[in-house]
Amino acid sequence: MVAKYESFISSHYAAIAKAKYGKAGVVGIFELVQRIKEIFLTVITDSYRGQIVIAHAIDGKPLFPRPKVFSSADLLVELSGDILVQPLGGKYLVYRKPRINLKALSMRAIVYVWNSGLEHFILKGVQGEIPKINALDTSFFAIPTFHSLSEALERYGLGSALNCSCPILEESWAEKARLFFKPGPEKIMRTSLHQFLHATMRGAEVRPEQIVDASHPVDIQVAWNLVGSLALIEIKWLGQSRAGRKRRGGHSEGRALVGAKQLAGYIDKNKPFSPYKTARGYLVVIDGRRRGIRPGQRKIRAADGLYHSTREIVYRPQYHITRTDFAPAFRFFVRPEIA
Amino acid sequence: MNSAPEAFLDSTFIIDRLSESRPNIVASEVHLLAYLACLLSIYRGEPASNWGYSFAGTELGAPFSPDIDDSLNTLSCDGYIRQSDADLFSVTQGGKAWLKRMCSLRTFSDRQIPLKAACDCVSLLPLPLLQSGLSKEPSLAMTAKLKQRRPLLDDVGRNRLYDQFAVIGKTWGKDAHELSFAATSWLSALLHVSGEVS
Repeated sequence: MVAKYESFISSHYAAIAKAKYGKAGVVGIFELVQRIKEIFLTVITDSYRGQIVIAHAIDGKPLFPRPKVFSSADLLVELSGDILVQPLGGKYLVYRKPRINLKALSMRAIVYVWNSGLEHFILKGVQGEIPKINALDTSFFAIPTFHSLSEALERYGLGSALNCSCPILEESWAEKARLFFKPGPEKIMRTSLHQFLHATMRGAEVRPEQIVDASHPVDIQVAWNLVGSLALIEIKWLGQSRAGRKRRGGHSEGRALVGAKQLAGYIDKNKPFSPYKTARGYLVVIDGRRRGIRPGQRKIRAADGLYHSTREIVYRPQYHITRTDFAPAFRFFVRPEIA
Repeated sequence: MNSAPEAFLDSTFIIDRLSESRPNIVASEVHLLAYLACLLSIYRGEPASNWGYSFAGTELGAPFSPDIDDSLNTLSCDGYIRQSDADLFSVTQGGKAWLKRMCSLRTFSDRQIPLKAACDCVSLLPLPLLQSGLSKEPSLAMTAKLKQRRPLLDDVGRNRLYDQFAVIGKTWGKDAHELSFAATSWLSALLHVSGEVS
């Protein structure tokens, strides 16, 4: 355990920066991370096509002649394609250098590289790994954080689930086109949402599979520090699953209604176990329904694949109206790849 | 209650520093960063008793200081900090002027180094992960395991902490510019060992 711990610390990107560039490396990489954050606030990573290199020159001079100068990070939003950005003196120098030798550049600059959701530093020729949260497709330095669970869930729905940009959630599908789930995808879905909330929820403890009464576990529990509030999250999936070419089962709208009833029961059962905490229930429905699919199918037309995308579920009873401890359900439709 | 004067400085310092670069913070995050600053002071070689006030661990494995709690209430009543409807804190103009005066006192000069480093950690490691990493330090990990509130940094907890700090010390020094990286690489290692980041 100590060896693993020691090895991680000595191979941390900042430790490499210190070893390679000395004090200038430590100060420089801290400064560089601040600029990376600023740039990622303006460059929308999931739609950006191309490689972004951000470099901090150790000697504090322009890296190449004739850069295009931007006075603030906001203006970088107009950029596209492969770019090299050098933050310098409160400005951003941008170079179009598609064939730049990054290893050579790293001899005189701390180099950060982002490409299609993958990121790393290059430090005098050595690659410095950046921690990765698999449930998020953004830079580790630009992870969004939330005080509100509803806001976090909305971000998960739009950012991680809708186009299945979460690599963990992607594992729940039987094929690349996202038509059928694998058998029993609940565990994967729970891991995906748990990891997302764990990395983004501020001031709270997020735990998977927590027992709410003598025997029933709820999928995810969020407990806010010092406040005494508790959220119980139940996840249900809609759609069909297959194993090989055989249909293994499926769930339609009724499954969401069953989930709501089940969650209402959990909240009631939890009360004697957490008498000093106010619990609120959140039903999360991962919706992978497709119209008219059959095992073996590999493609789908938009009309069938997106048929359920805007068809909301009508809940009976409407716990979110009749009870104060039940949030409106979150339905996260996951788009298929359209042929 | 008569809270330690250090807690007043620490609360105002943390709230002011964090509101410079990101959305304001809630009470539990002030306790969290004050505790991290206390640990960084220990890493720099100060005894825990020199910090000026103590902490307990909650059942959830989060740090809590009655002195910080009281300072937040008093500073709010006195108009030095304000709390929004969403329970987010910010420092008022009067609070900023008071903080500037306190920071200029020699009594408080040393603690500003670990306080600043603790706040800088937020820009290197997202706050939720910083909290999760810190919950795995020896004293807090024990409170979470026992699921009961208990004082932090007792003899056993401190000794195990010194062991971990000895490992960090092989890579990182104790100067101000290295402190936030010493902290974040330590917390990231705790997260990595527990499998929470890859």
